Amino acid sequence: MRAALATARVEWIRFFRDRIAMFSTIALPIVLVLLIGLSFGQAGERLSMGLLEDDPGPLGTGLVTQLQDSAAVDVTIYDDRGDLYRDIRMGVLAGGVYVPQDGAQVEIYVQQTSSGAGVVMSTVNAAAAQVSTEAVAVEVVQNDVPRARAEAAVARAVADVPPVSVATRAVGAANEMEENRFASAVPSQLMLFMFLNGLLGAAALVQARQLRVFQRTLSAPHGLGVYISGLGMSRFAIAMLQAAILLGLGVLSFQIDFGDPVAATVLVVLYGVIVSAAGMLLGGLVRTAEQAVAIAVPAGIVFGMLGGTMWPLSVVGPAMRAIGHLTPQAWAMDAWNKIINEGVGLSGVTTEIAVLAGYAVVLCTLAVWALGRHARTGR
Amino acid sequence: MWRDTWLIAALGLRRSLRDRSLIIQALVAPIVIALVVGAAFGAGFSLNVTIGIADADRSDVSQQITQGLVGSGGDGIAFSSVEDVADVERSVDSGVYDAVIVMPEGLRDAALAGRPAQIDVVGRATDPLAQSVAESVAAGVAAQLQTARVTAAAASSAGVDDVGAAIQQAVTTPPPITVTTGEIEGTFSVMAYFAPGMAMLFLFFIIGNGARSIIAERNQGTLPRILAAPVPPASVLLGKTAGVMIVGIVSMSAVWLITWLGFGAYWGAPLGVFLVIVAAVTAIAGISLLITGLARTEAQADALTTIVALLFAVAGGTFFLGATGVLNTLRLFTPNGLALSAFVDLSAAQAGVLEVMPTILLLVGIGVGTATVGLLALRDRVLT
Repeated sequence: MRAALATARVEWIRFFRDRIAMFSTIALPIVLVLLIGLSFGQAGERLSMGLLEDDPGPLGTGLVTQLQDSAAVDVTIYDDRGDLYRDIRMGVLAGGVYVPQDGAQVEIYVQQTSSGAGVVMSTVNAAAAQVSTEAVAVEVVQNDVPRARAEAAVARAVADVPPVSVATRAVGAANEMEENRFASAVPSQLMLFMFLNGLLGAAALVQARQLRVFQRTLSAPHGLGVYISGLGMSRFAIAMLQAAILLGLGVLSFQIDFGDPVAATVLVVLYGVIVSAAGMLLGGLVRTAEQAVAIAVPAGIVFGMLGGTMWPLSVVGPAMRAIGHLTPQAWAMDAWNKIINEGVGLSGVTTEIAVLAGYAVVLCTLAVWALGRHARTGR
Repeated sequence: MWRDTWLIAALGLRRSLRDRSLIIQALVAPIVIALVVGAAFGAGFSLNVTIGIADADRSDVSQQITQGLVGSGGDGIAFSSVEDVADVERSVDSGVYDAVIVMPEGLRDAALAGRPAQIDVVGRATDPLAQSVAESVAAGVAAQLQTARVTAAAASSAGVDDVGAAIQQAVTTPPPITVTTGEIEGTFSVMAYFAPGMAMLFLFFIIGNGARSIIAERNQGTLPRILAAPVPPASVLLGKTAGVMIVGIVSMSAVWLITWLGFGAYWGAPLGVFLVIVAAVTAIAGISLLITGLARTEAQADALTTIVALLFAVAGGTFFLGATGVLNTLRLFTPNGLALSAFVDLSAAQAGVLEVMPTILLLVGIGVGTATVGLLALRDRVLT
């Protein structure tokens, strides 16, 4: 054990000398958490809609004001039709509204592949009804009496009659991840970067392989097993340091409630074993440090995307969700959702923890096999 | 001199072709990542809301409003009549409806008598979007009732004989604003955003490797030997630069052609796309040369390249589409963010070459400026 710890200590010191590793372990995830929290603050609460107006009359101006005040939409005014179309095509906007000069023939635009046309339509129709009370009342009353008399009567009625109000109440409680944008940014970036760093750790391992350190340990009194476990412990300690910094930042700076501490700790520890083993496996398979980086960065991004650390898996289709669950990231994010949002303890995430433990065992076995094979054959 | 330059560039190209890491970073990684994003978000914006209408009033007016709404659903939104008006909360909580609009008992009478009247919306706290959509629809319903009560008051004060018929008419008369749907021509593939974005991220690593080879060759002793031959130092630097730029342009063009012709992600007018690729590669090559020129050792250049590449990627919007706020401004201060905005103009805004020309010139300017400083520093330190 002492020999393993000594190996871990040496690796730990080497890590702190490596500026890229320090940057991608600590600084980059923090920068990303801040940017995501600040840039996607209102996401998911209102529809983004673009609005193009062509100097509309009173009716059209009323509609524009009504839409800007609407609870359901977040209106951005455009003055260029090309820009509006671009953002609708990109899906940045749920739809666009064009209010022409007469204000009566309003057009809405949606993306060809969008499924939100009905929502945009309903919202605009509701706003149209709100600004049309007076016009409709005059039209109905003037069927029986002269128009001037109808207009005067309607104007009086509009002034006298109080508006019909709308009261909203919500059942259940908003979950932490929806109320506090940082509460989803911190765990997802943590899962993304722990994995990415775990894989990047392979580069240092390849250097050790090239220096034939593994072969030399075969002749040492403690043997290969102790050396590999020391390496594993140092990688695991780096992952835990990263987790401690990011989770600490979440609690102290963003007041995130990470739920049951026991469940969260078990999750982070298991995930730490997974990422360390994944990095050691990669380090045992590739030939050069350049290859390790060339594979680690894209693999970290792809696994992160599939596993729901870059966007929640609830927004993708069932096929992509199923594929995503081939990655440990997806199970870890499921567990975070339950621990943070539903407030469950360890007993509430047994499936996720069991699956992650499975990943940990398989990856550790494979990593030991790959490094052992290298030590014996020199390949 | 040009023959020497070309020989050095060609050597760099041959070595690149044999480098498996380069193939992974230049081609496989951006294409695979773009395909994953395409598979996740290929269907574009998607939303499905089911809103229940609970008519506890059961009056002629409320029934008419319910019928009007139930028939008015559309793509992504459905209205349905709620049978069990007593337990609306549970049906929302259990997810039968995403939100329910409740017209309480006595609503019509209160409304028409001019007494305070209220419509309720019951939403789920975990689904604020559906709740706010229901709220806006309810505001439309309230407006219809308001129209009925204003009409009732005006009709009786103006001396209309059949006030009841006027109220009926007020509820069914459509507003003077008509809303029609127009479809926008042309589609946009999210792959046309993420493929160039990711390709540029990895270009920083590839081009950075190429630029650093100048320092490596000096350390290995091959560079002094080349310089001992009758080869001008400028040829060495130009040849190296040309080599990495050709690798960058060819690899990014390959990503473009494969995602376009193989997977149908249209990046926009081909000439414009090619020019933006050349401009982006120029800017990235310039920045890589600057980093190499300023770094004291190969390891330092390596560290700086990784840090700059990842920071630019994050700030330039490589990982997110449609960010607002800080990120939306920050991206215009990065070369890859500028290039991405030009790519988006070409694909999503269907812009022509002339419209993206200012961005192309800016990128080339950034590239030439940074490359000049970098090459001067390299000439002074590495070649002497």
